[in-house]
Amino acid sequence: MGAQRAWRPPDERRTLQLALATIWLFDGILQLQPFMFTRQFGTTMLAPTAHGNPNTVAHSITWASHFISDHAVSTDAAFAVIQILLGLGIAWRPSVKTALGASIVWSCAVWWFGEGLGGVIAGTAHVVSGAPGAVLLYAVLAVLLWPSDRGGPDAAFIAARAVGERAARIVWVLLWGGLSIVALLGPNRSATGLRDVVRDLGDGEPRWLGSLDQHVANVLGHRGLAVSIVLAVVLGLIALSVYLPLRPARAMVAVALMASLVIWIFGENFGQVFSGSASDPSSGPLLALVALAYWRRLPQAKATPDPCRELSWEGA
Amino acid sequence: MPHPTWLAYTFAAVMVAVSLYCIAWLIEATRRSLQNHMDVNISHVAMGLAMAGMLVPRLNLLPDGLWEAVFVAIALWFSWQGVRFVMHRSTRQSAGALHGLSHYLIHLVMALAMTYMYLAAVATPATARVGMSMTGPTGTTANFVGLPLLFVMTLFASAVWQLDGLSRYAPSHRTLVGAGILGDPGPDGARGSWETARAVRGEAPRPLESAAGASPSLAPRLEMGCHIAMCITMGYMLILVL
Repeated sequence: MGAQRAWRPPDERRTLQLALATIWLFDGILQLQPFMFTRQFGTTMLAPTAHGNPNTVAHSITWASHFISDHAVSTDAAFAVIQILLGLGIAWRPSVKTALGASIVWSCAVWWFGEGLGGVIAGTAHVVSGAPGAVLLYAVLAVLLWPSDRGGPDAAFIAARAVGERAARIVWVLLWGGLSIVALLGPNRSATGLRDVVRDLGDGEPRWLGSLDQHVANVLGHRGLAVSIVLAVVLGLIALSVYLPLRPARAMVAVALMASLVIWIFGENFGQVFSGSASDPSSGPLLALVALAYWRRLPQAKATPDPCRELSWEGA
Repeated sequence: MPHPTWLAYTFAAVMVAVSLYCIAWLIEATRRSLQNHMDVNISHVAMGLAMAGMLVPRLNLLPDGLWEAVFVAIALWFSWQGVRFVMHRSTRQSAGALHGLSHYLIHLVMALAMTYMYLAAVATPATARVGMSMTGPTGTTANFVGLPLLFVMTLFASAVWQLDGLSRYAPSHRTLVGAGILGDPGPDGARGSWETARAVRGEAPRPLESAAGASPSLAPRLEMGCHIAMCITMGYMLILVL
């Protein structure tokens, strides 16, 4: 019979994996809300994401939303079980690789059929309301937190351990740089675009959150373009900060964390989880997790061997 | 919007099973004179039966007021245990001390979450006399919807944390290959810790959660499984009242 190595407490990367698992579990249970078992889930949440996408994409989304509407209970139950299993699979060490791999496939499918590619192609993406599609960030995190040490256990930051420092830096630049560009595209450029996004969030939310949205919308007023430009500059600086030395890089990661928090609270209303129809906590917490994966470590800090790799069962 | 009856039945069945298991655990632990985790299993019995009753009203054993009193008492107990633990272990900063404290805190959160559900949720039996239509909080509790969200995330984090720790309980018949030797520094730089020593001897590592007590746990993996099921079910019910 096989054997087992000593159990090790979670290290930094394992802790981030567990945070990701927690969010997957949360997603799965959100999928069990009563609204999700109704036809409206398909017709009012999924079908509208087809608008503005190329015909091929739009047709596939429409087909999927009809199928889900027609089999609302069974498909939703399956979605919930899949997401709960992804969360539990990442949390259970022997299955972490399988679960992370499956989460990449699932995330890409949901990004296509459930989020209409995040509105990136349709030109409806808003940085403050979840662009480029929250679910895509699950896949990015699964790659960055993959339990391997290609970049070496002593890499400059956690994300570099799995894919190497160069690739990890490129991912960071693409993500935050992409958000910076999206902040200046389409509806984000109009004077009232941001105000309208924030104001419309209040529907179905608790009164205090609705008041907060109204207040923020009033402050934004007709300053949408100016705010978008400031946002784009800040996000652009965050994107480039990955090439800075230790202290300024850490400062910019802190800025990225703050930006994630601001987006999550004011732009996403905590993922609208109080509305009874949220399927995930939106992009804010995931952006924060990505930022934490890039927290620059002190040069002398030595990483421990991956706890999941320690737990490999030897063959008989 | 009422939730599906079959889903309520499923979660209720899991909670009844967990409660029955915990009752069996308590009987066996009493027979073996094991004192460790008695309070946890008693609270699991109460929470499991209460949640089953909330999900399927005909399974409800006690009036809501009495359940509220039970969970306030449980919350006070774990608060008191947590304070005592901090006072006695204030000089120690070990991982065991941290886990011991989290052991009390998570059960305090669970008791508070149960109390919140009784205070916030409006339970109306469905026409089929099964399943509960849990609506959003009303009255003053409607201003505190952030609280159940905090409870939910804490509960799910605890479930995930416990599942990660499940692998520490190696079956005792397995031989450890490649386990650190006594001089081999562990991930925290510690050399020759009790955990490493036990690992080399082929014994199951001592559960960190047992740091609060001296006696060993009975069936720790099943106990953790019950905790995970309890956290997920409670999280589900809290999401319904968000």
